[in-house]
Amino acid sequence: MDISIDNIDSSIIISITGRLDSVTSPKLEEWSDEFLESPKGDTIMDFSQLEYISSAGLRVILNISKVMKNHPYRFSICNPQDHVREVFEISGFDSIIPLYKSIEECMA
Amino acid sequence: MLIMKEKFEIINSLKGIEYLRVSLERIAQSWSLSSKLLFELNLILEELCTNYIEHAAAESNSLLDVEMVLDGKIIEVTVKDSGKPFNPTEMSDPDINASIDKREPGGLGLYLVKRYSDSFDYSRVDGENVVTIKKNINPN
Repeated sequence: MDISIDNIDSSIIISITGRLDSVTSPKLEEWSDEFLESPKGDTIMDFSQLEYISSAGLRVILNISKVMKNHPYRFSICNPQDHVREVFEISGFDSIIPLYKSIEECMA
Repeated sequence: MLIMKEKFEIINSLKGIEYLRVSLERIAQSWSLSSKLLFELNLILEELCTNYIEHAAAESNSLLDVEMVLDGKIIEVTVKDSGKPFNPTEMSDPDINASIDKREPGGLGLYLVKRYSDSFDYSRVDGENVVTIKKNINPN
């Protein structure tokens, strides 16, 4: 699992590549603990390269989403692959975290 | 109808989760399973294994025995461990309609197992927890 960061206008795009399972999720959690201390803008997680997610990954995403609510910025997820989107829907995460089809739609 | 069978053991640690992924990728290729089915089987088995690692208070060097059988249009997965009795099918479901403030991450793993399985059963046999999952193979 790799994390890469881009800035588009004032938004921060976090791209996750690979798998978010119980082996790799601690790496995202460690990274996000630092990021969440002082996010600098609306934050979009790009899931287009995310191949797999389990409850370990969902747990980290839920935490990020909860903490972002305490900051004056939006948090959303864009472009999940079908299997990942289905896990989000079954878990009810699609009703608490905005999901968009593309970064452009997310930023509109 | 040819019945295919695979068996492997998973060690009680996160290294076991990595071994699970590699084993399932090999089996999916050998059985010509779709990427969707591989994803779902991996999810089911990861959740069962992490639940065992986190909650069953098993001895550090204990193993999970996994057996997978492909019989026509049904895959049956049996996971056995010799830890203390624990019935994962009895865990209560998380409230997936709760607002974000009230949403707790606990319980989601076994809820996913339940939702992605066509049957999810537990028995205690000869001092072992035996969890059996069945999954129908859909066309496509």
